[in-house]
Amino acid sequence: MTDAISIKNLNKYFGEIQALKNINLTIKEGSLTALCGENGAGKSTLLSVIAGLQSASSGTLSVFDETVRNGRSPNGLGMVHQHFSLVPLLTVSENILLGDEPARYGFFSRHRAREIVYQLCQTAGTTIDPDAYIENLSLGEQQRVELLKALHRGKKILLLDEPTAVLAPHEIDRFLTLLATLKTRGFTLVLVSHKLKEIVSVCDRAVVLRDGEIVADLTPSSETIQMLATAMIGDHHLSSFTFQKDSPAASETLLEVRQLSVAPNVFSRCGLNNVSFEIKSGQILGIAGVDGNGQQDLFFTLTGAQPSSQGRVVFCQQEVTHASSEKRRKIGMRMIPADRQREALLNHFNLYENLYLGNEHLFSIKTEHRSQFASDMIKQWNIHPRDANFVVNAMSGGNQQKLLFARELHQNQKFFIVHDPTRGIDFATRQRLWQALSQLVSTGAAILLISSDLEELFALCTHLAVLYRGRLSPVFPINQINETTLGRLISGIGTEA
Amino acid sequence: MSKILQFVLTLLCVGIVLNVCAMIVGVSPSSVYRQLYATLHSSYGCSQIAFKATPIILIALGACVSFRTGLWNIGFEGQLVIASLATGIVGGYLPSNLPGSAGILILLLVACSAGAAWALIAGLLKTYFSAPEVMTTIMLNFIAMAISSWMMQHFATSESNHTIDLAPQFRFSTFAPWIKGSQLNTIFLMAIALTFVLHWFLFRTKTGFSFLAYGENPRAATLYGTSKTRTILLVFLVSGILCGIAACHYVLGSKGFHEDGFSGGVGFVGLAAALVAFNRPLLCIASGILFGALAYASLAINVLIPKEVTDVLTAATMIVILMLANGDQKRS
Repeated sequence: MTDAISIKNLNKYFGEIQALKNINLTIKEGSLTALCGENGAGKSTLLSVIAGLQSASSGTLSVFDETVRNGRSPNGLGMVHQHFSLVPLLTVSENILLGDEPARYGFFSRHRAREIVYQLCQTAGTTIDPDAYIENLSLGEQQRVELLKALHRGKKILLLDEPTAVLAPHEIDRFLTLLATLKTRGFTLVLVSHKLKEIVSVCDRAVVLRDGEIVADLTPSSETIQMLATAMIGDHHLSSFTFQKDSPAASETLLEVRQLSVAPNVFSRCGLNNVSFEIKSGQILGIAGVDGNGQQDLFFTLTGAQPSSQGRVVFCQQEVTHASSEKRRKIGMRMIPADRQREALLNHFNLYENLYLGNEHLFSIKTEHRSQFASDMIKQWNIHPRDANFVVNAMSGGNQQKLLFARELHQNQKFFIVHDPTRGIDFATRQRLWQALSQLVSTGAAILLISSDLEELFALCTHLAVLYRGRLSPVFPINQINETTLGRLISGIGTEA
Repeated sequence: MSKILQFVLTLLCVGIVLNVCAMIVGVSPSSVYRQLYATLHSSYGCSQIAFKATPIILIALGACVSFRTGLWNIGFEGQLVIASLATGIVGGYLPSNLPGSAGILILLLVACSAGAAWALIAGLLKTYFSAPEVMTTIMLNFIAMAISSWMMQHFATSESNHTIDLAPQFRFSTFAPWIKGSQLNTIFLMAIALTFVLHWFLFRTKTGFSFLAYGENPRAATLYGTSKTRTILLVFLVSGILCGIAACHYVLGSKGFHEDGFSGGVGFVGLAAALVAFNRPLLCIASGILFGALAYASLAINVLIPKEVTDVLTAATMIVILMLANGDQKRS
């Protein structure tokens, strides 16, 4: 067998940050390889460098022994993205043949289109109705259409970015069978996945990335599954951050969530299923899990931005199940969402104005005092640039996040919901933000920390629970859970599929 | 591009368009300019420009507030028509022994509440049914105009096609002897004052800030304590009230009654004026006067150049301004 993909000494920088460090990797033709690792480990970056969507900073990439020029898309290689690129109002055959339509007397020939799609289905060992409209198909079927589209274009190598993330359980099995069939027909497949179970069931090789480096390269099997889990998570003793997790003895319950359910919806397909937990003052409850398992639903339901379909939320002895965000803020809830630009910042407004959002009471004081407050905040949090008129859009992510922390933390409120606070944030700022969160708790506040970063969770939390497909695991005190158990819970091993 | 350069370029382009238009209709451009200068160079000409600018400024202010809040309210014409209709009808039936100031106050209230009520329809549809305000306000414009024509069948006097004339004590007097003959009235001063009030409101108050925040990022604003319902309803309320005041400019000011087609599409010109003012209240005075001047100038040169051509001129001016201001509509 020849090498389908071969990568030598590949590096990729984003500004100062090195996303991929000296990657050397060869993938054999006709193999099914999984790229796995935590969020931000560099899997997707590697995939898009191979697909030619991003150019490498240095190193060489060859596909079928042909060197690919940096940033070009290699011939015979197709990528299926997490978000499909299909036209919803066209049929399956029209989508597959888009740009290459079979014609008869200059008109689109439905008959021939159908035949082509049937042939493709045979090659792939699957079935699909060529005349169905995309908008009526399930996500699993749409994914099959994407695959057939790539096959029709003569692609021999398929790159799949988290293909099962959007699929329902029964669709996943069918999809995995399809992958296995494609492999036996000589196609080369590379997929990004977090889910150990899937990797073990179909892949014949697993390459684990952490912090942009390949840290493990093994054959997945039930014997090596533990090795895989630990390789993905890594050891967390590197952190210089220490936090004494002694919670005050007499603590009151701040937030109580009972059987909270959210129907799967258009915003996030997962929803929540009977989630119950409570947080006392002085606690940091970490919610671990891979993105897309209901984290967004949990965040927005608890902050009042999205309605719940069932269950109760009691906050500070007050029923807030149906309360607006405004009401929740008034009684002492503060929130830091994961996507700060979309959910939290006024991107075209300046630094000062962004500090006023949610602190509108500042408008009842004199203008000078108001700007004094803002400049104090900027000094206290060491936000750069110091220029008050600087537009937030042009600030770095770390400084935007510090701004957001300054805004939310300054009143020393009782309860904070924080979602992925340090994603994509450099080491020093990360330590600073962690410090701030741990200080809050020592003054009697409580934090719900939803995070996909295990290092962060172990560094900060007093309690941990895992969200998997909208269900919450039991809450463990941090000293009663180890990384292996956590890894299993996150990947859904030991729970029903 | 500096603002001054933008301004000079705009004038230049307008000049070119005017010259081309003049030549197309076979008039020498210089005679057009002479005519323009003669008409505008008088206290009467200037006050007529201010008169034309008054409703444009008021509507542009409403549009500024709406657009800044991210609400594409196109319904000013309809709000204006309803406010004017209500004021005209009520005004005609006010007892003639009522003192002038009381009558004016009542009519102002009627106008503002009618305008606000009409605006709130779109606001409620938006908040409770998420109906896109661009569509609903446009449709409400048509409905308002239809209601006006239908009501006029009942309320127009038999010898005219308008409502009963207001008693003279309910009319605004022209406010200075030196602008003899001009219909400029108190509403102009009110419009100028409101410009400053709204500027202060938007940039210096809590509610104003929440409007701006909502316009910039509604998700963030609502997550951080701005009520979506309250914001949307308030914005529509403000724009409706401003339309009510603009309606008084016609009913209590120039005309003394309500009739169909009284506004000449000023509800749409105001939108343009707000865009040209980059949604800044203070600049609305300038853009209002610009559009007022264009409207009056087109009357002034009507002898030489047909109205259709001057309409082209107004449209061309707007296109030039928007072209030059490309990308500048966000906050600088």
